[in-house]
Amino acid sequence: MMSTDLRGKCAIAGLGQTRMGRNFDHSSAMGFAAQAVDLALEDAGLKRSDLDGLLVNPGLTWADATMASFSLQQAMGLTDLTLSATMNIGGATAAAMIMHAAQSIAAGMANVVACVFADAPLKPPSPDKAKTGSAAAYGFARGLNAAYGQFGVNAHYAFVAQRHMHLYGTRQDHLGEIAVSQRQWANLNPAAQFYDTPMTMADYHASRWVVEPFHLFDCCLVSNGGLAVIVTSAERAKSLKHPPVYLLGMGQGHPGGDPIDTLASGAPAAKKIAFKMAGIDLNDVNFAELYDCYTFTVLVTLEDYGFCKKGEGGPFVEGGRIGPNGSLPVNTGGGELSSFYMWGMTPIAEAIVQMRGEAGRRQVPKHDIGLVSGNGGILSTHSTLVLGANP
Amino acid sequence: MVQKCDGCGELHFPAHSFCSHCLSTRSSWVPVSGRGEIYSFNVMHQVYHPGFAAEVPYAVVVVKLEEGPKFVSNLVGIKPHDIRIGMPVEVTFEKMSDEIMLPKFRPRQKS
Repeated sequence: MMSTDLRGKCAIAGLGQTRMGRNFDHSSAMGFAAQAVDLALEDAGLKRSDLDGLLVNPGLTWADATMASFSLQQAMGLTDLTLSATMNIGGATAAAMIMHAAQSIAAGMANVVACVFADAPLKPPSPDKAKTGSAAAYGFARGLNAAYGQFGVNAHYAFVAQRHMHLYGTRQDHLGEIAVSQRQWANLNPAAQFYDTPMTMADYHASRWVVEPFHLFDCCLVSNGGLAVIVTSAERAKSLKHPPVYLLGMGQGHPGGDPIDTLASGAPAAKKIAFKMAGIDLNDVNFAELYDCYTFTVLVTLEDYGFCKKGEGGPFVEGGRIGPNGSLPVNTGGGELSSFYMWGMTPIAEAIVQMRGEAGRRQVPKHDIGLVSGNGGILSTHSTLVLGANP
Repeated sequence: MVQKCDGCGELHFPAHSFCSHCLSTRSSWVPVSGRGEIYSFNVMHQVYHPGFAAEVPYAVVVVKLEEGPKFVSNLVGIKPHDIRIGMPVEVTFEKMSDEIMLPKFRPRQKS
C-alpha cells in the first residue's frame, strides 16, 4: 500500500449534538439530522452557505434512506454542494464518513463537509400505551432463524460472546466490569441518559436477562437524536472557534467470514493502517473511545487493538482499569451503554469533547492523542480514527 | 439436506442464490449426516414475537454439522442451562403443521 500524506491535513472543527434519548422535538430522523448539522455549524462558527459537502449515515428509521443526503440537502435548502453521499457500514460508518470527507478535502474536491447521523426509533407515549423501543426497531429475524426464535442483533452477538467465554474463560463479571466502569463515566457526563443513575456490580447482575449471556446492561441504549461533525482543512480549522481536532490517522478493516469462528473484529487491519498514517503506537494513546453496542464488543476491541492478548480482555478490565480512576480511560462519556446511542458518532463526539479539554469532571488529564473505533454488523465492519490535539 | 454448489462442490447452509466461492448459480440439495456438535448457543428471555411468549426462556443453538456448515436451531430434550459447547447432537424432525417439518437437534451419545 502506498504511504499517505493525509496525516494532520484535515481536522474536525465543529460538533453538533441534539438532546438524546426520549427526545420528541422532531417526528423524524431527518429533523434531528438538520438540527445537528446546524448546531455543528454554529459550534464551528460557520454558516450553511459555507458547507459544500454533506455525508449522511441514516439510522434504522430514516424514510427514503437510499438518498438520505439528497433528502437532507433539500430539507435544509443547501445549494451548490460538491460532495454528497449516503453511507452505511453500520456502526463503522461515522468514522468512515470522516475519512471520506478528509480524503475529499485533501484532494481539493470539497472544503467544508458535514457528517451526520440521526435516528428516531422511540415514539412519543401514545394513548393506547403501545410500547416502543429496541425490540421493535432491532428485533428483526432473517428467514429460517425466526422459526427457532432467533430474533435480533442481541441474539447473534450472544453466540459470539458465549463462545468467547467458553474458549477463553471470560466471565459474566468481566462484562459487568465494563458496564459498571462506563456507568461511572456516565455519572460524570450531564449529557448522558444515565447521568443521574449509578450502578453497582450487584445492580448489573440483578438486571434482567435480554438474551444470555447479556443482561439488560450489557446492551446499548436506544436514543432519538442527531449528531453531526464538521470536517475541514487543518488550515481553515485553525481560524475557527474551537481548537482543531486533527485527523492524524484513519483506517478500515472488514474481515469477512463468520464472527462466531473468528471471535474478532476488523480492528487489527484498521489499526495497522491508521497507526502507520499517524506514526504512533499503542503507548501514545491517552484515551480510547471504543464502539460499544455491547459490553462484549468493548472487550473484544481492547484485545484486537492489542491492549491485551487475544482472550485476555476479561482479566484486562478487572479492577476498574477502564473506569474513571483506571490506567486506561475508555468510553469516558459512558459510551453507547450509558450515555446515548448514535451508532459510530457516540465515540467520536466524546473524543472531540475530550480532545478540546471540555469534558468537565470527566476530563482525562492527558489528551494529546485519542483513539476512536467504529464497528458494524456482528464484528463485521470496523473503522479507526487517531485524533490529535496537534497536527 | 444442505445446498451443494454444482460448480465447485462447496456446501452451503442457509441456501444462497449463488456460490460465495465460485459464483455458480447452479446448486443441488444433498443429504448430510444430521450429526454435529453445539458450536455456540444463547438463552432468549426477551419476547420478540408473540409466538414465543410462552417459550421464554428458551435456547437457540448453533450446530456445526460434521460436514462443515453451521445450522441455527433448537435443542430438544434438555434444559437451556444444561447445554454446553462441544456437546454432540443429532437432527430430529418436529412436525409444525401438515406441510412443515422443522429440523431440530437432540443430544446424542458420542460415537
